[in-house]
Amino acid sequence: MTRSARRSPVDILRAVKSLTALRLRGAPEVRAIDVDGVHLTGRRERLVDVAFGGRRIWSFWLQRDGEEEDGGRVARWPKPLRPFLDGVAEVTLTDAASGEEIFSGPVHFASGTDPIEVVNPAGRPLAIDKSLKLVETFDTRDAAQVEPLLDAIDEVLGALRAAGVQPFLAYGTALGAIRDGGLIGHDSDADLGYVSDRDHPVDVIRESFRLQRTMTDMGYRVTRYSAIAFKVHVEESDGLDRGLDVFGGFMRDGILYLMGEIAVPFQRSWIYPLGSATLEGRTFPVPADQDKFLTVTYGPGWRVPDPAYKFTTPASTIELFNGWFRGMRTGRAGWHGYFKRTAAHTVRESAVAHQVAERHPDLATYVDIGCGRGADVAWFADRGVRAVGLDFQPYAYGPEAERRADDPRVSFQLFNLLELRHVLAVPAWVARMPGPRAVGCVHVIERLGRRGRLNMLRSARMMVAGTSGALHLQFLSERGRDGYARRTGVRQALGVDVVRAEVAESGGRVLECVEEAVSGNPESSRVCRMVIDWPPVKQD
Amino acid sequence: MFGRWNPRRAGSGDLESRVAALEAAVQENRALNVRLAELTDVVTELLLPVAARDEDKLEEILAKYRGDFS
Repeated sequence: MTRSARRSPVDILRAVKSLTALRLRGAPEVRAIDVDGVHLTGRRERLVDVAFGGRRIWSFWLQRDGEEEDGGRVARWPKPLRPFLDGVAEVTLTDAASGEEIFSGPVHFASGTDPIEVVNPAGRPLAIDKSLKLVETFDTRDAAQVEPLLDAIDEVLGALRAAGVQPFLAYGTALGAIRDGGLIGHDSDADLGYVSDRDHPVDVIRESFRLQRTMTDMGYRVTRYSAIAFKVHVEESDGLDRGLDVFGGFMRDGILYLMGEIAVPFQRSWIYPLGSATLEGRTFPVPADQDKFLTVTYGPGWRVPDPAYKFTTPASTIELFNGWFRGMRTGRAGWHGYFKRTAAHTVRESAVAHQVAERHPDLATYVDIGCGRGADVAWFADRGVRAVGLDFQPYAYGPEAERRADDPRVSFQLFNLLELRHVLAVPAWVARMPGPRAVGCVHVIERLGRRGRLNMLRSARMMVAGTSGALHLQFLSERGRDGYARRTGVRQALGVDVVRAEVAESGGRVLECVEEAVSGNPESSRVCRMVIDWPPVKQD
Repeated sequence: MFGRWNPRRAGSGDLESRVAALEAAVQENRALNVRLAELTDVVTELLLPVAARDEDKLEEILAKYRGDFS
């Protein structure tokens, strides 16, 4: 990247030209198109656009993405497309570099006879993006639909400026503006970036927390993705919730770090003072040296469109960002999938809830760490107990929170055991609620690493401090062949000894420890229920 | 990871396992950046109102602080 950054624009153009020429020679031939994928001949690397009914839904690189098979290569359909492949589609394959049509005609998939429409439940057209996700891409939006997005970009840029940073268009949005003056058709989101005035990761992270607070104060919903990147949700005039990604960056010792792909030698003067580029007729800020910026982002070939582009970020950069900034969202997508899959299942209060109610007839506050759908929270509230549901997956407790919106005994709070800010501030809030307070944590710790588990114990300790309450923990201690691990979403068992050691490490003691089979099945899974408290520290 | 550096222990094992151990240690140290920033954020945002012993203000600030968790 450093070498190419020193190349002149002419050199880069020359390199691009020769690459294009290479792609044009010898068009591939289609051997078959079926439910598995697109089967082609041809040894040369080429970019192929796949359209259904004249609309591009996917692009792939034949060599990079295809697999070898007898007599050629097969590019397998991305997983999110497969459920749609039942019926008839008018398929067109195009060589993206030359525009030459490789195939055009109706294709029958599976046994269906209806025309295939790749749309979401609202009927809006979808396409595969560069992360192989099925999303609404820009190429299906007309000018009137693009305006609200441009308004949103303008608004968020202004809000970030007001919050004290100098934002610019980044990644795909910068590429589209600089190269084509417009949004890239196969893109689906808008990316913004800024380079902080601070030069230490700690200070850049603190600034990002402050930015998030300022944006929230302005009325935006913000979702944090890492310690220096977040998504600002803007509801567009067409009712669509559009997320604008904001990537933090900084410079240290002559290196530009821009979350989440860039760590290269760079000069601040190549970013600031910002220049400008036109996006769909409007002017937006971009880094001062457009060529240098896009070259470090997409390589010297940035002038040639590539809908199937994949970042070739060095492993060392990924590791560096992982260590510095990532690790806050581990497991969140998995739990989201679990709650989505089990949305129709009936949930009942847990055995832990009954145990707590029996042990503390005078209980004033119950806190459920990892409350899921909030069944235990609702059960306690109905018994007149103040109940707090904590989970890092608001999707799960959302419906119950809505049902209980007017119930003063019920609170739900987003709570992430992987963020120390949550682990300190939420228990500080709970500790002010009436006692006795008890904490339940049912089938949560199996999916946590050691840091998350110790944070759970730290939180529980703060929440029950000064009361007669305890932590009531239930986890899978032995995985049987009964589907229990999958049903509860925990996937794996956790050793009782591991938990005992961590309780001791947290200064706690195990008052009770019971292991039992979850059914009469001889191959049943076993769960462990522990009651834990923390004796007050003696003051001299 | 705590305690004094022991050159004899650090020098044991083959280069591959030493590099692996070193990488793990580097990664652990990198993660301290987030921990320190989080801790500093909590102290600067929450501790001052606690010290001021203003109950109403504290309640409000605790609610506001957790209001932007995402």
